[in-house]
Amino acid sequence: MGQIEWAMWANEQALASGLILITGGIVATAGRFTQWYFGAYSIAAGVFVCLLEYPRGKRAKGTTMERCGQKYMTTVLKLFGPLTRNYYIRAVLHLMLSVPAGFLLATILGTACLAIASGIYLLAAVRGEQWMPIEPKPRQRPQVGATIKQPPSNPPPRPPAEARKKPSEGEEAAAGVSAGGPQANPIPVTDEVV
Amino acid sequence: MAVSWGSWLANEGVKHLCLLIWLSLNVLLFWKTFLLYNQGPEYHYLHQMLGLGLCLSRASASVLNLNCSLILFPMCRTLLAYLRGSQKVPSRRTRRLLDKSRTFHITCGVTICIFSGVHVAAHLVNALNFSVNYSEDFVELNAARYRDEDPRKLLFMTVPGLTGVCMVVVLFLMITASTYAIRVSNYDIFWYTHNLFFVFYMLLMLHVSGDDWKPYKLRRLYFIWVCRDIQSFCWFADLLCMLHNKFWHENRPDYVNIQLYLSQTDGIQKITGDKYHALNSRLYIGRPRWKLLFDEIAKCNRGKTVGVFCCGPNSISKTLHKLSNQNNSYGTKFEYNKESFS
Repeated sequence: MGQIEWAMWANEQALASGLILITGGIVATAGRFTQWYFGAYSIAAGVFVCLLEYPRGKRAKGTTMERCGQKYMTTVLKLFGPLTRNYYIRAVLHLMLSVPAGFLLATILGTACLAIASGIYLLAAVRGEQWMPIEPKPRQRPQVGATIKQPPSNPPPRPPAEARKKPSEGEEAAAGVSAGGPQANPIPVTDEVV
Repeated sequence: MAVSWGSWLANEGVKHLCLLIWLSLNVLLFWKTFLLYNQGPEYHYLHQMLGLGLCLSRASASVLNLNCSLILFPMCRTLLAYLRGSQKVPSRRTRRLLDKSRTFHITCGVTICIFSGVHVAAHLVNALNFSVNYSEDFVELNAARYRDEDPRKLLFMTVPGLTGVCMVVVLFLMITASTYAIRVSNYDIFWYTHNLFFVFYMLLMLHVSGDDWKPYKLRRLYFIWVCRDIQSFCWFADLLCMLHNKFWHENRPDYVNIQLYLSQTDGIQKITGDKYHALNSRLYIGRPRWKLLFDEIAKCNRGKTVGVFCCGPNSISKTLHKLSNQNNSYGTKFEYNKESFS
């Protein structure tokens, strides 16, 4: 359990909750049920949460899979500095956002899911995790001059003499094997017609 | 590069065929259930109350039923290993099909996810409609108990509602932890949450049984009263007449089927009084012939569940109990209930 990065799961949950809020909000406003303005709120809150959670944070260890096109929102989130980096703030924010949606039946599930995501973010914050933006790696152009190094001084390693049996030319042509070297078949390959 | 049809068929053919069969099953189930609730005469009043929400919720429920049953099989690894290694599965084609078990599991999972969304949305709208369209005329059909009952109460204070909410939460946890990104980076989260499937199935069992809370949707009441002498009927003669008139005026004259039996055959055989005319015409001399009665009720309620409520001496109770357990050719079930005050 020690190496689990909770923030990543919280992020998936928050994104899903955002979508659930949007769906619930649409059902509520389209149906024009009483207190449908809670539905409108739910759509707005859902969109906000989805935008906030879309860029995945960088994992502490290993490579992180980026979501398609997330670099644009990453740039926006970076501008807010500690507000978006800190998971305590995110936990509180999500909890507060979820409350108004709880008043309407159509959006109450969105509340539950966002509240759970908030809880997992709290856990992540307690364990010291932070949102780090995934930076694009600078592409290194191979400079032609720098790649030419000293030619090797030793020949490549070769298998011992017994293994270096020269195959006959006919078999070699049939098997398509390059003569000598590590690619030679230790057992000659013949085209046996069974 | 052009596809070799021989290779394509060998590699993809059976898999696509199975997928097509599974897809057809789902579409068929959804369509049939949708039509049943849209047009079935026994659901006419419910349909008036709930509209499209009823059809969508039930149709998606049947698809969910199918997929929840199927989804566990591809994960029975011991069974799959046995099939793969045994002589029972000789062909390479079948073995290759078994390799696709995880993909099938994920397909069923995604389907469950989508149709759960439809099912929940439809039921939320249903809860709202139950509350808004509450009518005194159809008390038995309505899950709400009074007009404008807060639909959130329906959600959290009924067995199907509460288990449904818990299942959505469990499903939410399981699905968010099953994404590719999580599986690749934090496999533990995926593994531990996926074991919640056990909780999900327990809740599912409760969820469907919760619908049986109102086991006898009252369509008709057969009221059979056996007394030894005529005066005994006077205890409730007025009440019975009032009931009879009420349903007669509501154009539901057959809602209560009153049958009075006078077991002692000598003596006065009519309840005195003109206003008891309705009861006198439903008075029979002699003991009831229970077998014939059960047969008639079974014939009029084919395939349904009929509740039998007996209040009386043991001799009648034994007879009714035995008859309730007996087979009949109409597929009707009789559930026996007894109460006595002596």
